[in-house]
This record gives sequence, structure tokens and C-alpha cells, in this order.
Amino acid sequence: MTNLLATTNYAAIVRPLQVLVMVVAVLFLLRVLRVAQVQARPPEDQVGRRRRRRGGLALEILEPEERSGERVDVEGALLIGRSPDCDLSVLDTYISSRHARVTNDDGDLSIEDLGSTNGTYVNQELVRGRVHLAKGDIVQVGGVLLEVVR
Amino acid sequence: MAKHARSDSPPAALVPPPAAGAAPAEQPSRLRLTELTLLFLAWVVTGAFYALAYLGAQGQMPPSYVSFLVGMVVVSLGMHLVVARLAPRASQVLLPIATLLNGIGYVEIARWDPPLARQQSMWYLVSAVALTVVLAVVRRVRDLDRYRYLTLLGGLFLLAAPMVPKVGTSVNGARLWIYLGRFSLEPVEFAKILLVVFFASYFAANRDLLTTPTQRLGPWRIVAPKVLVPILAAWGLSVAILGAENDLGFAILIFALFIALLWVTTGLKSYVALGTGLLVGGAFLADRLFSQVQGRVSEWLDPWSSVNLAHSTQLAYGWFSIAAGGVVGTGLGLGHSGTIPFVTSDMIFAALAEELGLVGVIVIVALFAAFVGEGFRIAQRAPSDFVRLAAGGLTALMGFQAVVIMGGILRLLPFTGITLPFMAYGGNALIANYVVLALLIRISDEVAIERRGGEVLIVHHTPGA
Repeated sequence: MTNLLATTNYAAIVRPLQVLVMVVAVLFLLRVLRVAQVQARPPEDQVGRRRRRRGGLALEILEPEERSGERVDVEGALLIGRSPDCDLSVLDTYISSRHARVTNDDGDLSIEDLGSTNGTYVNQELVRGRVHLAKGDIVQVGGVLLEVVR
Repeated sequence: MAKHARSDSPPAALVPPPAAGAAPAEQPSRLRLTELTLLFLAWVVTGAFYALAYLGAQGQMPPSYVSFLVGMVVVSLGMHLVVARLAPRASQVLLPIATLLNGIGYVEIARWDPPLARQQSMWYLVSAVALTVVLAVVRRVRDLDRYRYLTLLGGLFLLAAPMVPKVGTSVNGARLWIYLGRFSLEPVEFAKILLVVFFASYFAANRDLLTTPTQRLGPWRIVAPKVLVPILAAWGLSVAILGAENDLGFAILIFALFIALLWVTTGLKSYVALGTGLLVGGAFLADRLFSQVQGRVSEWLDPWSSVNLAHSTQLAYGWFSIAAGGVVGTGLGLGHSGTIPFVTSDMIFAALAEELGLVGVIVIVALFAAFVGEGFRIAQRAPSDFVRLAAGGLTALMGFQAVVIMGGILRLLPFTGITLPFMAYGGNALIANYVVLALLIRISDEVAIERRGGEVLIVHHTPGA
């Protein structure tokens, strides 16, 4: 049972079997990718895809108090600021004239700051670049508080 | 009227329900079916590879095949149950990936050096215990934030330990080992974990100061220098200690981690530029100062000259092995990598490349990529800066090690004796890898709980739903 003899005998068996096992390893990888793909979706995607189709995400005003409860739908892009030509124009001390823009990308909302003086915050974190919005997020634009709702 | 009763949503609601974070013992164990399925696939692959390797090499089934299978299944199933009990919402792919990498590595070790493989299986058992201990002790990763300077001191102490005479010993030119009675330890493996935690903690606390330039220096605006002092001191010290211990690999690793975390913290590319500059400058200096570094660089640039070949034989053998493997490999047990010095530790990647070929190497690299990807995904969803940086740093640690050693073997980088995570032989390295795995699992569980806390908040907030 020298090594050389074994090599000549078993190469023909080992190599095809090895390919088979490699296929299992690739299955392992595909499964991992699949898990990552499922988890990468926002959680509401898994529970309520149908609900999403019925009504996408929108914004609801929490403050200022007098406009509280008002629902703002986002179609394409929504400009928030003090200036009257903004889509959502609010008179507020701390808001800039063109403060932030909310974008609707197939039901996914994201917000970006437009170089405002006082910044835009999502869940009390300063927005740098573009921030993805999920249901329940609290958006602060100047003194205006908005909640992301369905 | 969907009128918001704002007094009904007190700020306390933003904190996850205390039962979730504080008393994980009350969490029910969960059936983690994905993890179990993946583990099963990992067992199939490892078990089949083990049999094939012995068939190819010796024309017979491995002598203690059943006990090997039982040992592997029992230990990894044990870890699976521990995770299900102590971190039920954790990521389900990390443990199986580690198990599979570990298994493939083990097969290659067993194929070249069966006694060493028996030791490695003991280390595997110890690693499982280490994973359990870490998950049981570290209930919330953010608690580590409190021990900021303690982790720094601990890390530096471990780095310096091999320098103590009598206890510390040089092996192959690098002074990295300490001997305590019959046990030998490679403290640097654990030091790097502590240093990552320190960097994460310090950067998270000083994020704004690091990001906002406040001082003027000529035409540039720079951040306040005093913020950088402790970091640069920590970095300088660890590099100095490593320089004294003659280990280039870990010096580069620590530095790369440092820059990566600084980048993740601030999002400023200028830190990366600065870091690359320092790295090149440092490498140039090290090339002049340390003979080992000098050798490594010249072997990298010109391995075939008669002077360098005396030292680069190990690498040259590795390249011949890789070339012999070709696309589909020679077949398990049918390669001839046994002549490579340190084939089971430094050069295990070359041996695998020979027997599994390019296809196998792609699978292995993809497994590492999946591990790193999952780690960064966890980091991305982390609720606080510290947890995000800790997850990112630990992931980067694994990723950098894999890249540095695989790149070294393929001659893309100078060769250093860093171990390939989970695959190469080495008790301390394996335990340290499982500690990192345990911390990532803990963080991913924490992330899932906090997310769930967030959902509770939403239900609370939306009267219409």
C-alpha cells in the first residue's frame, strides 16, 4: 500500500466525488446569500408586503402643534422649508428656506439635508448625506417634527 | 382625529424594554433552523472532505472516522445550542461559516500531520468553551465601553508580556510566545481584540472632535491635536512593542485596523490618505531598521535571486503547489504540499489551493467574504457608535488577517506569519477567532433586540395601525 500506488488508484474516485462535495459547499454559500438577502430587507417587508402596496410611507406632522396630525404624502420628491414654493412650507424660527428634501423611490423614503443652518435629524441623529427612512422614524427639520407613517 | 397624545409616549419608550437587554436568561431559547441547516451542510462537506483526503492519500478510510464525525457534530451542535440559549436572535450564518472554514482547515491539517490535528481538535473544544464563556459573561457589548482604558492597559500588557525575560521566548525570529509552566501562550492574538475594543470605545466617545476641524494650520483646517494624542500614543506603543518583538504582520494589522476604524468613525477620506502615507513611511523606516522586515520586503520583490531563495524557499514551494493545483485541483490527498515548511500553519492556504484548485480557493475566499459581509451588515444596523465600531473593527480584524496571509502567499503583499482565521493550525489563534465570533454573535443579538424595541415603539405611536 505505497503512496504512489494509492495515488494512481484513487485519483479517479476522489476527484469526481470532490466536485460533488464542492457543489454542497456552493449550496452552503447560496443559502448564506439567501439569508443575507432576506435579512437585508426592512422588517416590515417580510410581514406586510401587501399592506405596503396599498399605501406607501408618508409623513405625519407632530409639531408645530397647530398642524399636528396632518398627513403629507411624498410623490417623487418633497421639499421642506420656510419658503412658500416648498412642497411642505412651514413658518418656523429654526427652519431654513430650503431645508431638506424627502425622496420617494418606489415606496422607500429617504431624506437629505440641503445645507440648512440648523441641520436635519432622524431619531435625534444628524443627517449626513442621505438617510433611509423607516416607519416610526422621527424626523426633525428645524423646529418641525415629523413622523414616518404608513 | 389622529391626534397624538405626546405625553403617552415618554422618552423611556426609546430605551428597549429592560427585560430584553438586562435579563437574557428570561429569553426563551429559539429554534434557529437556518443555522442548523447550514451547520448540517458544513458537517457534510467537512465529513466528505475528510474521507476523501484519506482515500486519496492512503487508499483507506480514516482510522477514527466515526469519532471524528461525532466530535465535530457534538461540539458544533453544542455551540449552536449555547447561541440559541444565550443569544437567541443573533445572526444565523456566522457560526456555520466559521464551522465550515474550521472543518476544511482541519481536514488539510489532518491530511499532513495527524498528531497535530488531534491537538487542533482539543483547541476546537477549548474554543467552544471560550465562545460559551464570552457569551455568558458579556451580556451587553456596550458594557465593554465602560472599561475603555482598562482594555487599553490589558492590550498593551499582553503585547509586552513576551518581552519579559524567562517567560517570553523567540520562535523563528519573532518574540511572541510566553511559557507558563507547560502552557504556551501567544498573547498578541488576544491583545488585538482588546485593542479593537479600545479603539472603538475611544473613537465613539470622541467622534465629533475627530470629525470637525477646529484648528488652523496654514491653509488647512485640522482637528484639535490633543484628541489625537492618546490614539497616536497607543498606536506608537503597540508598533514599538511589535517592532521590538520583530513581528511585522501584527504591526501592519493593528495599524490597518486603526485607520479603518478612524475612517468608519469620521467618514473622512483624509484620514485614509494620512494613514497610507504613515504606513508607507513606516514601512520604509522599518525596512531600514529591522533586519527581518528588510528580508521580507526583498524576498517579496525578488524571491528568485540566489541570496533571497535561502529564505523564500517556503514561499517558492507554496507557489509550485498552487500552480500544480490548477483550476480543479489535484484532488484531496493527492497533492504534494507536504514538503512546504509550516504547511499546516503559515502555508495551509497553498496546500488547499493545490488540492482543491482555483475552484476551492474561490469557495474559501467567498466564505471569508460572506463572514466579513455579515459582520459589516451587523455593524451597519448597530444602535450606537461604540457597538457599530466594535462590530466593524472585529470584522475588519478577521478580514485583514485573511487578506494579509492569502495576499502574502500569492505574493501580492510581503509575506508575514499571520494565521488564516479558523483554518490554520494554532491554538491561541483559534480561540481568539472564536472569541471574536462570540462578540459578533452577541452584537447581532443586541442589534435584533434593539430593533424589536423600536418596533414596539412604532406600535405605540401609531393609533391608526
